Amino acid sequence: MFKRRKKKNSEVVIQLTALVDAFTILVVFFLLQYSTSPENIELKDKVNLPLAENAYATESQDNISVIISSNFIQVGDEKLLLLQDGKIASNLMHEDDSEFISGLHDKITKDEELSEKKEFQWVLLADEKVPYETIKKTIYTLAISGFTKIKLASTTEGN
Amino acid sequence: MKTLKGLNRKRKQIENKDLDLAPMLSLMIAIIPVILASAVLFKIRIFDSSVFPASDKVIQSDGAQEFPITYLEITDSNQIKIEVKKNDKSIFETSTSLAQLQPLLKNLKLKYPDMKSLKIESKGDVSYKDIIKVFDMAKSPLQSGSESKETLIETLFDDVTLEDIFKG
Repeated sequence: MFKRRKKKNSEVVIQLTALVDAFTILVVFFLLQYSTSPENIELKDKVNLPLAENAYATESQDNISVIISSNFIQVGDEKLLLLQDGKIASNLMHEDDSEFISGLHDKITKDEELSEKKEFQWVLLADEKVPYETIKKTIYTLAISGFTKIKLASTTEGN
Repeated sequence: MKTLKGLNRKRKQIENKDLDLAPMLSLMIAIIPVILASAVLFKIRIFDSSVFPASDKVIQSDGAQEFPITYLEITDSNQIKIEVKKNDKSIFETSTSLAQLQPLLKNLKLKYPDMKSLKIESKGDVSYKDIIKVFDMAKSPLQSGSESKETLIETLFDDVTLEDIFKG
């Protein structure tokens, strides 16, 4: 009398769409986070920041990184000048002012996006072996170009 | 007719088939650790490089300078000349090395507690590392026990300036 109910062939399918969405968001988030966070800047090309215990973490989100290695000066993501052992070639300097890097000034002021960022904090991430002369000339040039909020970067951890 | 029905059934089957996202998910799971592992991250800390000093020569109304100022002239890591000036007159002068600088600065701060400004000049072959070391020492806490982040830490010098930027 009883009809046996046929068991339905029920397959359990895990909905992966939502999981893939979440992972995609995570990947994008990580990539963006590393490029914009003022505290976590990815330093390539062997830039070893000097160690310091008493420096403070920046709270400002409006930062522009100026990376000075022994081979180049990079503003933001763009390498603007090439250096030789951390020294600036004389042809990049101003004729009448030996402290003014006209090559750097020209490139920054011609860049419309950069020249509008005078209120931003310019963070100098220099290799520990770079001569102070180069740092001094860079700060001088930035200040003359109107970028006066200049900070010197260090790190708390051994790199 | 039979062939048409068969075609329709096949089309329905194709339409109902879900995309297999498992390989995509595996790729994502692989990418995240790779991104995390490949990023060389540093905790960046900063010092204010006061190009334009905040309290440069604070002059009282009677013309007397309010606070003494320390001038550091670094020739190299073993040769640092220290001069304390008040009203543009030298009141203390000595030489030291980078290794001995911190205790000396602490002693100076104890001797002249009103002193808040340190001005750095460089001559010769000085690296960025040396300058940061001087900044680090000048910004060290006055009392060694006061390292709580919640309280305002009193540092040896409030205002550390790179004096020679505009001197040329």
